[in-house]
Amino acid sequence: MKKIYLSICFLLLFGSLIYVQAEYDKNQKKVPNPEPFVPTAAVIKAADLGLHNAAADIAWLAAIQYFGGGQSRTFEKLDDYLFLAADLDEKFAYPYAFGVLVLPGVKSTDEGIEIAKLGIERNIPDYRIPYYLATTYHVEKEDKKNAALYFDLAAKTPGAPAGIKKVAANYGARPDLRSQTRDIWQGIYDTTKDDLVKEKALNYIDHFDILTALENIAKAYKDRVGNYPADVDELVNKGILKEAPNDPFGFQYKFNQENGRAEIK
Amino acid sequence: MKNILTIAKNTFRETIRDRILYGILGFAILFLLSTVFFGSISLGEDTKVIKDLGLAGIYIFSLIIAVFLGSQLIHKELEKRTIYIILSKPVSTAQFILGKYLGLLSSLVINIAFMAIIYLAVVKFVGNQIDYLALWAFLLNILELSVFVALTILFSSFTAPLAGTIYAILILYIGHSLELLRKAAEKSGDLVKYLVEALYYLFPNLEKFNIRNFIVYGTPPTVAQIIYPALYSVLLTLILLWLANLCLKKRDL
Amino acid sequence: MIKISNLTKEYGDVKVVDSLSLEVKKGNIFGFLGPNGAGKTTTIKMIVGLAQRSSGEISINGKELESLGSREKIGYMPEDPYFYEQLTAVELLQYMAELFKNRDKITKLAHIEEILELVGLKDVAKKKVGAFSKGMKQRLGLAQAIINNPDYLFLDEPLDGLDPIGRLEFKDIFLKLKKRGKTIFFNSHVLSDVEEICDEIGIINNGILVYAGPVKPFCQNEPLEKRFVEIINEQISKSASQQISKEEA
Repeated sequence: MKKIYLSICFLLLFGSLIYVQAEYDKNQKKVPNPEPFVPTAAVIKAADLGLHNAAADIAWLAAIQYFGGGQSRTFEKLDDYLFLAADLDEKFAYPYAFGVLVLPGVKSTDEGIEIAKLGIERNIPDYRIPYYLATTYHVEKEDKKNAALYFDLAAKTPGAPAGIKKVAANYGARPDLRSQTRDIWQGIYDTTKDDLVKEKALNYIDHFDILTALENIAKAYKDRVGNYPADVDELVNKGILKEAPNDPFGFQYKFNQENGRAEIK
Repeated sequence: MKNILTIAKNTFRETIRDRILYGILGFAILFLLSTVFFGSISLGEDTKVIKDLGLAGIYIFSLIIAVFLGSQLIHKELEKRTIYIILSKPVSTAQFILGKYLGLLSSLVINIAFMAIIYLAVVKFVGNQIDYLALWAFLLNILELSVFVALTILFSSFTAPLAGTIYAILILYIGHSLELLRKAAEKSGDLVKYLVEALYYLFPNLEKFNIRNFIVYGTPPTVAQIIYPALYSVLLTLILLWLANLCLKKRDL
Repeated sequence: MIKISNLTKEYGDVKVVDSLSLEVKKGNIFGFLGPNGAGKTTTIKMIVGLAQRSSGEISINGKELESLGSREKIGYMPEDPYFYEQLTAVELLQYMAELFKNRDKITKLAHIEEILELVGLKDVAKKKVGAFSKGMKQRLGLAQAIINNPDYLFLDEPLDGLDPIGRLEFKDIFLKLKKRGKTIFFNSHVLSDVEEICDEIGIINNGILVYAGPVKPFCQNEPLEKRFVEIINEQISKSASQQISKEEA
């Protein structure tokens, strides 16, 4: 009799334990995760037993986890992580390049430019740093002068692939902004080993391709019907398009009635 | 000196048969294999990550083994009185200490060799290259360990293993921070500067054994970067073992 | 012959061994007796060089016991011996044997097996020492003490931890060694054993030598144990009265 009594007590204890844990987890989901504390390079260097490269790699891996983890809403610490990695191991090329390309997406464009310039100052022989810096100047800042400067630097960097050199050489020569930008992103897509960056480049490429395709359809429409369609929905309704194309950035398009260019609704 | 080799041989035997050693080594190997995973989530920086983490891991694990084995080495002999049956024979304390040192160091060299083979295999597998430069890093790693073995033998000859371990860890941290301390002291007054300079030369400066941060970028070490640390290691080891001998001789067993 | 003159060991004010003088004739078995803490182990450690003497001289065969060379012909067995647990009995004895000048002769497997047989460890020769029982460790302790064919043996509580059969075997071994011309100096507090095999005894209490000489005249036909207790008590009361007269003065 006593054994059964003791077993029930034990099961109750264990059950309560699981219940408390579950309630705690439920509560934690409501509380937003605080932003992590990112120490400075000096602090880490004092404690890492000289293993600065390994510490830089860990900071880099932490940056990736932070960025891809979805724990943060603002990603405001991403630049801290990247600067930490770059300060711990100054020769570590990728954080500089990755930073300038990805930070604009989390509202840290200036920090991105800062980190790329740091990499160039430190004479890192990696073409990606000036190339991505030029890309950001072109895309985010619409600063053609600086873009041209850094594309040129990228082309001159030893080890730059032929595609990159071509983009740099053609910069400013092509009047069409869209195909210019598309080429820039194509250059990145073809040369990166980074799935994250590849995806970003593909998004831009698809986006431009969709715009071009829509405008071609709109022109054909005008030739047939006499005027440009109002928007994409009209094309779908009239059965010309099976469905609205999935723009990677989620935009919806209407058409400029004067020149048939696709414009964001 | 045959006695030194005899004691070394048997110390080597004793440590190499210790099962705890295999536990630590097992963890080290698991860690080395796990660097492949970390490389895979590094967005294309695989080879760099596995090299950096691999070399760092081997360093830390080899230190753990050295300090763990070394801090017990003499102390166990004193506590269990196995030292009695040795020193009552025609064996001097100096021969005893040198023998213990060589035995323990040999055991460590085998461990590092083992870890090095795994490291080289992983790097070949992921990065498709044979990391010859890492061999220099392993050599300097062993030279640094020599200092630590001598240090823990010294501590072990006059204090308990726990205290000895703590002292060794303190020296490890200070030894790697000396350059930073020196730089920080540049802004201070003369007295602080002199104190820090004294500290700089008294404490073992362990950064000179660290070439990991540039060999992964393909830069080979210069001749000076190998010769000077080697000399430093030999001299420091001799000094520490000499002190250990003095401590042991003074003790009543 | 072992000659000890005015051997003293001080720790601060306390004299653990106080002006000890005695002689042990060559080929004798000498039993060194005394209560626990009397200074027996300290004395033996000073003789074999494990402890430093505060003052006094020790010589064996007329030679001062300072250099390492003097240890070639000595064997020592510590009290409650411990060994390297991962080595086998054979490996341990080979290790010990290699530390001597005549290593070429005594490291031979035949010699080691002979010693192991003598102490009764032939069956466990290849077993790791870590697994040995107390009695087996005692036997191994004796084995490593005689591995170099020493002329002089210094044994600290050699019979401790042995069962009656073991004690008999050991006493047999001592007599055998004596026949081979060896001199044996051993500590003990098991008096019946001492009575049986010792030629001479020394009794120490509180660091002071109370008696040194042949067994039979000391016993005067009484059991050794009775006489031992008597003389210890005599010495205690003598020093107590000395203390009182010192304080009165």
